[in-house]
Amino acid sequence: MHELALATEIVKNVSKLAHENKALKVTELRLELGVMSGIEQEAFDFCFDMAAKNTILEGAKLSVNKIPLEVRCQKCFSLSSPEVFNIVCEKCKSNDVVIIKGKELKILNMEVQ
Amino acid sequence: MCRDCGCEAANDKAFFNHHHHDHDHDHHHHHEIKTIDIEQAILAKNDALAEKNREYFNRHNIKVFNIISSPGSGKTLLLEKTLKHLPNISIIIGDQEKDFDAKRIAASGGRTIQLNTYSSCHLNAEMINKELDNFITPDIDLLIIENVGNLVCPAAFDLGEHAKVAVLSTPEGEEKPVKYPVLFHTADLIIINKMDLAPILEWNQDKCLDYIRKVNAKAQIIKLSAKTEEGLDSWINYLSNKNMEARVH
Repeated sequence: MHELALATEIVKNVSKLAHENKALKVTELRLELGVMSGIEQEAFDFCFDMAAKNTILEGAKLSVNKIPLEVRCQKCFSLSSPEVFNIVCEKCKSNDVVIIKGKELKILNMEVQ
Repeated sequence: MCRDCGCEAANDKAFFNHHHHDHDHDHHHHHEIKTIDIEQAILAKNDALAEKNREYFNRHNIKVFNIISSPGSGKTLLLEKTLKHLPNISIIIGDQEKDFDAKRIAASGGRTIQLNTYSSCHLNAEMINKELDNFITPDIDLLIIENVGNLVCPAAFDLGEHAKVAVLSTPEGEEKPVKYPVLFHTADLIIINKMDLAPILEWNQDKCLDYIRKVNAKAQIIKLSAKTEEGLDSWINYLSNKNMEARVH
């Protein structure tokens, strides 16, 4: 359950930015979460609502752009999108792959009023 | 401070307080909707502190290992046995509550400190940063951080270590690596502990190694039994390897 620690951190940072931008209210917050980020989205949604209570983010819509795993094979150099529990090249089945996408854990932007 | 009305709503503590933005004067805020770009890594603060920790470790030639596993995999016994061979290592123990493990390490003659995370499920870079020049002193050579027993959360938090060590024990079954791919993918070394129980449990080694390779092609794998000490020498050699390159994130 590190989702609560992260949600608290996000609310703290975003609140500060929102106030600096003279916002009255944050209406939407957009995040990018990779499937290898270690974040369980349902738990995160729940924690975000709790962390946002009594802040400028209360009631804000949380939009999560989920990034699937993308790997580059070091043997055949093809790009593929395997499951996280089988990180191999989908073309030649080699496990000598480099993760290109899927580890994202990022705040993209916010919509404010 | 809120720049529009001068109230204290905008300070960092606002989140913890039941703040209601009521005033007896009129506001002239903007009411149109606009998008503000943030483009910020959520773990930016932790990662920056981890980098500071790593700089400190490198400056003082301290090798640091972050051990992560589920509760009960045998991390503490492994460290007690490690102390017999490497008595001068320093050990940070992370647990939510109590200091049972640190007492065990201290009883084995180890230099140790217990960090309690309370409601939190992992150690973070800030907790380690606070120990620089306190428990972690420039004269030590080797620091082992025993993270909170948890296969999920500690994997996300870089502490500034040079290597992440995942411990898996045979009673947990063969398939843990694919059930918790984030940790097992990130690990530089994977220890399979309680090998003495493998025959009793009919634990399938080939199956487990196959699962590890599905999520991590490169990690070194050491099979051992902390109890019987079989295979312990590989772990001691791993720790003693002075040429280990600094981990690059």
